[in-house]
Order: sequence, then structure tokens, then C-alpha cells
Amino acid sequence: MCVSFDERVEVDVLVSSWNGVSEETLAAALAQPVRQCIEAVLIGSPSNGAEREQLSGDGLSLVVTTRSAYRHSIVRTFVEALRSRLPLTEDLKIRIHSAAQEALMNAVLHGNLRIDGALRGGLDGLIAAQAIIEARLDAPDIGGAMIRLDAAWTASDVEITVRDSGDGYDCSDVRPAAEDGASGRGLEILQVFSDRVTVLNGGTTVRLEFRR
Amino acid sequence: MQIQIDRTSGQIAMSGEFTFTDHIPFKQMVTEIFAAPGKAVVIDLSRLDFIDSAGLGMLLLARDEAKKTHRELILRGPIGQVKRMFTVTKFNTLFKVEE
Repeated sequence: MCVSFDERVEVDVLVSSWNGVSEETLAAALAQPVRQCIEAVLIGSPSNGAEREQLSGDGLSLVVTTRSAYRHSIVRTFVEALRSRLPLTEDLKIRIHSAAQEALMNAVLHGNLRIDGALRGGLDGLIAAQAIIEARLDAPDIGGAMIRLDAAWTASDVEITVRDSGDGYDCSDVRPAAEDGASGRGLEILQVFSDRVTVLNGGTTVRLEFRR
Repeated sequence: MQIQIDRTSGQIAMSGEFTFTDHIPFKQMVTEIFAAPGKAVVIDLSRLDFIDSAGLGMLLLARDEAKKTHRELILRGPIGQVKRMFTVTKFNTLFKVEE
């Protein structure tokens, strides 16, 4: 098991590292009392945004590479880690998981990998898209780029923030999906499952708020 | 995601999570099932735990493939989060969905 725990850093922050191997090792790295988990290859890469932060209040933070965010069920494991820290009804768990998954997919595919959504508009396009995805995941600067999930909660609210390392996008260019179109439903799902959606930092950060 | 295909009956069973990382197995499944003769294709979703918008989009691509070959695509038994996603996105109006 390649999970290590550092000594308490600053105020009340317990940091662990994840080896990037599996969801099982990620679950172990996120186990209580950890407050922040960083994929091992990103430790010491402040330019990737993986620096340790002084956290206040109740929270959990996960910093992973784009490659790991693509290869593993990051959101499911993160939501399970949240469940071990605060009671979530089945309804709230579904809403958080569904909305956070959409935000993560957007961060990975469009933020860091820069995949054109239109490419996946046909069956043959799926193969072409996959070839581009694999090539970019293999590129150290792209596959190794940071994806960050943060959760913060109070007695009344849960807030999930997903950040990527891309260039962002123009929010005014986002269009809802055609009724039977193969893509473009992500924004609708974010809005339906979250109580509030806020796009920050030029589109590189999405904050999702849920009432408990 | 895991896929089981019964070529003789035209039935497919999907399980696990169906997400944006499943392009290749889904394309292979669609190619294989629509290459076999038959009238309707049934996708059993009763053991599928989770779907995201990319998974929904891929189901629509399968529906388009079914139309090309004049066959019906039936989605059977969605539960939990999958059923809720179908409701949110009005998928029940775009597919024949059997409980």
C-alpha cells in the first residue's frame, strides 16, 4: 500500500499522497482524518496547483493528474470519502456525484485535453476522439496536468469546486444541447442537480453548491 | 463499464459506470450488435449504477445506428441514478424505455 501520511502541517491539515494506481489505493489515501490528498507525482509541483494549502472549516481536497482523472473513477471515490465524513442522503449523494462528474468530465476533456465536443458527435468520431485523448494523456505536460476537487461543508450546505489547468472558455459560447443531440447536456445536468452553479477564473473553475 | 452481449437474442447487458471514458467498448458493442441480424436490440440497464452525459450521448448514437438499419433500440430497466438522469434529460421521450 503506497499511502503515506505526513505530519500535521500548519493548522489542522493532514496531507496524504496517492500512488495513482487504483481506486482502492485512492480510497485508502482519502480515509479520515486526511484533509488533503495529492497524487504523488504532483507533490512539489506548485506550478500545477498541487501545493499544500492551509484549510479552514470542514473540507476535503484532492489533487490528481489528468491521466488519473481519466483512468479512475475519481468522483465516485471522492464522494464516498465525503460520505464517511458527513451524512449524505441518497438523493444528495446522487446529485453531488452526478453534477461533480459533469464538472470533472468538462475539466478533463475540454479544460486539460482540449477535445472538441463535436468530435464525439458520431460513432466513428468516438474512435477518433479516443485516439486523440490517448495521445494527449501520454504527453507529460498534458497527461500530468492538474485536476483539483475541493469539498467544503457546513450544517446547511455542501460546496464542491472542480478546477482544471486549461485556458478556460467563454461562457457565452456555451449552448444547450439539441433535444436529441449526442452532446451538450452537461450544463443542463449541472444546473438541475446543483442548487447553484458558478463558473470562475475564466472557465477553469466550477463551483457547485448543494443544500443539505 | 462491463458489457455482456447475447448475439442470438439481440440483448445487451451493461453494468457498472457508463461514462466519458467508455468510447471504445461502446463503439465495439454497437458495431457488433448491429452487424448481427434481428429486429430489436434491447439494452438491459438494470445493473448499470451510474451514467453521465457522455454515456447518454453514446446511447443516442446507438439509437441513430438502429434507425439506419431500421431496427428498434429498447432501453430496459434503468434504476437509481440512471433512471433519474433519464428523467432529467427527458430521455424517455427519445427512446422506448421499458421499466
